Amino acid sequence: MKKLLFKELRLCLTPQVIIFLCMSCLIVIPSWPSLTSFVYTFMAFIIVFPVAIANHDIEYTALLPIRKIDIVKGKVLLASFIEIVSILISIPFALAKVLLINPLMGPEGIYAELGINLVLYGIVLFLCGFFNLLFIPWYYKNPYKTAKSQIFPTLIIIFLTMVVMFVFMIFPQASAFVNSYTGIALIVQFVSLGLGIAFFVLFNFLAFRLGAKKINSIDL
Amino acid sequence: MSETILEVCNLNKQYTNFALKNVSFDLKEGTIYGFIGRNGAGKTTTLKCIYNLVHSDSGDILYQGEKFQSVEVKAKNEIGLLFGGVDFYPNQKAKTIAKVTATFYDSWDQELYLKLLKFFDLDQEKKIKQLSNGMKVKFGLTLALSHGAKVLLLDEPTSGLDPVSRDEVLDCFMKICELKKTTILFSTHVISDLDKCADEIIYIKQGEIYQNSTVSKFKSDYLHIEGSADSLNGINKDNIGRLFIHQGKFSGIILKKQQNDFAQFALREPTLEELMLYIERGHENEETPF
Repeated sequence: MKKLLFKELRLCLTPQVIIFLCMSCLIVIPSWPSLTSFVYTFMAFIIVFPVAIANHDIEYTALLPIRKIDIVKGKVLLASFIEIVSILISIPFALAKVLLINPLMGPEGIYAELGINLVLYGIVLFLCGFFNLLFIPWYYKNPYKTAKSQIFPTLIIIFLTMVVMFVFMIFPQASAFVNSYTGIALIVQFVSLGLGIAFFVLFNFLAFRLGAKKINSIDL
Repeated sequence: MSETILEVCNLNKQYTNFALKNVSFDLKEGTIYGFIGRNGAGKTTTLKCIYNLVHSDSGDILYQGEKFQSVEVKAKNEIGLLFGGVDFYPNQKAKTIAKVTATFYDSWDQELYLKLLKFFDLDQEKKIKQLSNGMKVKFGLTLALSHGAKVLLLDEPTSGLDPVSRDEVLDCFMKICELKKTTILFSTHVISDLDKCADEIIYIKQGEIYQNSTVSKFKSDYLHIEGSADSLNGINKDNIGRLFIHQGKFSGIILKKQQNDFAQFALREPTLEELMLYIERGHENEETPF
């Protein structure tokens, strides 16, 4: 697993990805829907995967002493890595917003939707995992045609992001509840984060299994 | 007696316009096999099936007696596969690709890698796109040889190489085959390379194994014939395959058992290339479009 990740990072991670990873720091913008800043992370795949194909990455990886299905594992690891780094980059900016910017802005500066809390990160992890679950098996249906496998999962994630944001806007009580850091709300936050992590792991595992099934049925 | 290291048993693969049909052969250790056939005969597909890149419809690949898929990682660790030259990651330095590749092999020999770079006169600081076609082939061979492979499956490893480089590569094949008992199966359209170094020939024709034997046995049934074109008068030309008449001279291939009928002509053992042309085009009614 370590070798595969090393290979992916050394040979497949194009420098332009940094731009998309840094987009998650937009979370710091006052009165801006926090969840939106993570959607840009998925745009990184629009660069990484087609560039890998142009570089004959799949042909190289297939020659290495690994199982054919480990080609998929490498890409699941890469996708997860990009998503986790994007989340990690956002954390100091999220803390700056909560601890420095929001107090300066006063109550009117806090947007009436899902604020910055562990529920947000739980949902982000869920969406990242769900994106991988949609994208990876679709991609390995025919790794030489990437358009559909990128467009549809990304659109679905944008749609889900909008749904989550609207739900919290429509139900301000829910928004107020999860945005507080006390008592039962804090427990809900930790549970949400735990569930987000669990779904992220589960979806990535399923993405690998389904992608592996697809790659076994195609000729390289 | 050399031991069988890899067995291909009744491999079948159906495509829309092409099929591999019951392809079977064994590879013995310390032997160099020439894998020949026309473009599209099934050489690359067979190599890809062996390495589990292409899913065969039926048939088995056995590596050291075990099913390839059940020992896939071990087998791939001990097999070096190369399709032409290295043409992946054109913007990466050769050094980077070697570094990543090395991490995957248990038996990567960095010292040997550096020696091979020197032997092939390669600069690992260059990016892949800066390498010539010949250098890409040499770099691919360097990677394949540096992990001490027991079996090398090479698809046209000498194409794109100049005669001197080709000679170097063939010398290298013969040396590692002799010293390390490495088995080499290589396909090539430069048939003269096989005359120099192959022990055995596996001939594939339209997806089927046409011949699988030692080079000398492969040649043993045929003779090359040549003489002046005038002397052909009164001779049954139907018995001469791949008859080629040019500037008052003729050449062709005959069956060895008919040599008494052609005793007056210069006869010699045919080259593999002459034999291949005879097998593929020997009895064609050659009509050109111009």
